[in-house]
Amino acid sequence: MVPIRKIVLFAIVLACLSCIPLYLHLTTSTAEYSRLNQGWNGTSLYYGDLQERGAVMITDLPQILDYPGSRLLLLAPDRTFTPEDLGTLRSYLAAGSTLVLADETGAGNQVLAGIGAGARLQPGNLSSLDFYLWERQSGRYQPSSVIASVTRDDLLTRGVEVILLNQPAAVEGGEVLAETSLMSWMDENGDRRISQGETLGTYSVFTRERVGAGTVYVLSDPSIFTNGMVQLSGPENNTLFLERLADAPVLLADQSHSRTGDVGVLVPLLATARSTRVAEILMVCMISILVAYLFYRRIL
Amino acid sequence: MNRRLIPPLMLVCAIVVGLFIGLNFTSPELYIPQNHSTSLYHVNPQYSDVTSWQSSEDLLDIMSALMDDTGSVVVKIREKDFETAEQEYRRLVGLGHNFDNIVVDLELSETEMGEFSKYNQRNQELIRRLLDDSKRFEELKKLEVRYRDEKNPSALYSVTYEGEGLKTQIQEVTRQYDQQAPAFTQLGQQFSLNTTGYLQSVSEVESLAQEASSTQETRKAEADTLKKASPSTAMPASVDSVTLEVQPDQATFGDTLRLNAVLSGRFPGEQTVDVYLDSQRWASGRSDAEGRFVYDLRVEQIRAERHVLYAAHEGVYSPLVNVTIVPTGAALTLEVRQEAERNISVSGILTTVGGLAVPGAEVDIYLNNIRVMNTLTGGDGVYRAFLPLQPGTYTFRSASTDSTFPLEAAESTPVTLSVAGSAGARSVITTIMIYATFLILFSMGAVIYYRHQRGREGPFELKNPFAFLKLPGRKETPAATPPEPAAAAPPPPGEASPPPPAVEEAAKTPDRSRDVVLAQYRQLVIGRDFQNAVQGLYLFLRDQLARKYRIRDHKSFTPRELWRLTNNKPCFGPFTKFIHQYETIRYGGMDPSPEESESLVRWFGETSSALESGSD
Repeated sequence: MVPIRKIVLFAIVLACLSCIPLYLHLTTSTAEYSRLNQGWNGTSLYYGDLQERGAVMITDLPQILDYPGSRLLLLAPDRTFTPEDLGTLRSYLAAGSTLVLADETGAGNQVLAGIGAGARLQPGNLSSLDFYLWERQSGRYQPSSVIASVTRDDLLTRGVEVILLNQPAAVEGGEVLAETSLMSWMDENGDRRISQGETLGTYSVFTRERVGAGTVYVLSDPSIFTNGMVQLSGPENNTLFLERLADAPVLLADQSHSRTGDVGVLVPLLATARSTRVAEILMVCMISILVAYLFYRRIL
Repeated sequence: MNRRLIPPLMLVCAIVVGLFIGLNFTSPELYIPQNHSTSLYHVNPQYSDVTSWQSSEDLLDIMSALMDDTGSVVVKIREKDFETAEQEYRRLVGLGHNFDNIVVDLELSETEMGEFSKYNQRNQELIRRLLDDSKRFEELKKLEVRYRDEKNPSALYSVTYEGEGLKTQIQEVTRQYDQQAPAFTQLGQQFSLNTTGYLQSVSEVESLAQEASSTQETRKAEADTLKKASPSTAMPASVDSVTLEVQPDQATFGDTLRLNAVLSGRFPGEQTVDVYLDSQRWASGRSDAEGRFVYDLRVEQIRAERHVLYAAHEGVYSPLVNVTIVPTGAALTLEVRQEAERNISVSGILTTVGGLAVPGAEVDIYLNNIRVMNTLTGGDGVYRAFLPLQPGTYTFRSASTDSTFPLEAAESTPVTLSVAGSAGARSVITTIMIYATFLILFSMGAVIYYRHQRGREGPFELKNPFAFLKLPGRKETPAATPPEPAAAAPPPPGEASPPPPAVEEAAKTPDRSRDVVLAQYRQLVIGRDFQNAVQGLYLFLRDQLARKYRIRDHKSFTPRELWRLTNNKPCFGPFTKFIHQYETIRYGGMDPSPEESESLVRWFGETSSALESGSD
């Protein structure tokens, strides 16, 4: 009898240990840009920093109207903006606020057109001979890890000389604040080379534009906010630039239309469960019943 | 769920897991960073090496220097500072190599940078020729002064003739330099490079050609003057003059130029005749008795441009003859074959479009559009090279742009080859073997397990419940006859109980074994070993229960658990009483009275009989 029980006990301990990664898995996310994604392609580090700075997470877009004159970070938008949403953004800008839009897919063009901005994102695989990454295994360079130079002084680029981008798009229109070197091209076929039909030239990656009383900044790559990029060490990292973007008296971070708000289905449920007293009590009761049953069945 | 479904389900699961593991057996890395190092939106910087190299700045600096410094080399050539020009040129070549390496490293061969690289290489080649020709031209000047001082018109004529050839070469270099200047300048301007130095070099080269032309005219005039001034010593004794006729005056690769030189004078026969092409002795031979020398010059490694030919014999020179070599189309084939592990043979043949083999020409071999090797064609135009390559798929290409031949650039059709090293082949075989071994072991294990399970579920045999009593002096008597039931009266305390008899043989039938068990029980009771006595009865009933109700792992059941299982069963009543009495004696340590002992025997018998009966 005793060995059997030991095995059962061991199995239960093992099951409990297995629950730890399961819990971690359920309470985190692997979605691109998700603020709960602790992987290299998540934004948990940057959003952790934003929360420490007291940034307000906007889960319902009209909330931004409560903060006139603030700065709104809209990173990697991927949901359609309704006419009401666009109206909200226009009102927000009319109050002298600042919108920082970071997008590489072109989804942000709906916002730019909707708020009356002239800048447009030009999606594509922008590559440059000014790159900073070499693929470790193959030893090939990664021209899509673009180094862009800051060309104009601004509140958001003060002290910043270069911006490291990761598979960026390009921006057309607006005042250019940062651009790639002359030896850059849109790598249409993704072969990492300047192929026939791909011409060299300078591309804008960060622009500024006045829209009404507000200001709209467009950055052609939200990847700079990912954990992998934030953790990048070296003298030419984006630390100062990221700090400049977050350095505002009142900072808002959109979660309603941004990929950073992608948290899956289970995560909100678990978060609700953890934050509700009744749910906590229910959980404790369930665990107690389970333990009692195990004792009753002489499993424990 | 039907419990019978569990084993097959588990077996299916095990097979699925086994297959999955088996498939990944030789490469068990189910998760490695590079499997997750890129996404649609970005690459993982943590899985890459970071460089601090500003590629475009470096490239632009080098390109700028290559264009700019060309001017300074040409200026030094024009200033006749050949030593400095040579140093500058070497530095320029080194810089060019650096640039070419970067172009290769960054796979830019097919881009504007690759084009820049080609223009630069051609530029440097022309400057090399200009430097050599100018240096020689300058040396001729010194010889000219010496021969003039020596009043040696013969030697002066040789200088003049060589100078004429050099002048033609310099003019040809100038023409080619001028020819590519607009495109090269435009390319430089495209990258916002400072082209001033380069454009200066173009005008300097033109000036140099004009200077050479002017110098040569003066030299010729002076030679003529000297000839007139000293006619008696101007000609050698044996030959008065040399003429040269070349047919045709325009040729292409593979054509033959017939050179007819005729010596005339007092002793023209069987003299040595030298033929010069661009001031370099190209052929030499002896004239016949009538002073005729015929030489067939096959056009092979001669640049496609205008050339100067002349014949000479001991300081007597023929008039200069101009010949133009025009380029012709070329064809290049490519065959790629894997000879052995990591040994790829690349071969092909370079011919003209007319099918003439081109010997001694340079052929570049490209691997995935990167130039990896340079080789020469053999006498039959065939080139061959071997490349040590790792397994993988590669695209090969060869190209010939050797400007020392009058051929247009030729390029082979690309060939794609999947290189499968024997290591890879071994790997497949090893994988199959390992996987097969794994499956065999897995199957054997499954069969053993299945047979074991079947064995466990086979006919249930009642065993001697008193076998746990390994008492000293115990004797096993085969086919023991059931002893007569003895009086259940317990012996007096302190007397040792006799060893129980063996029951294995007797246990073949339940009734008979039950009697044996009872006999043993009574003997133990007589020996006042009540606890072991009742345990023997209990174990007998437990085995009976397990057999009757097919209870697996019945040995792990407590008496109470077994008792619960008999609920609603025919044996429940007597078994309840038996278990109660059993626990009192076994766990309570109570010594039963003779009546209690007999009651226990009765309940044991009733339970056993109920279990033996057909009803459930």
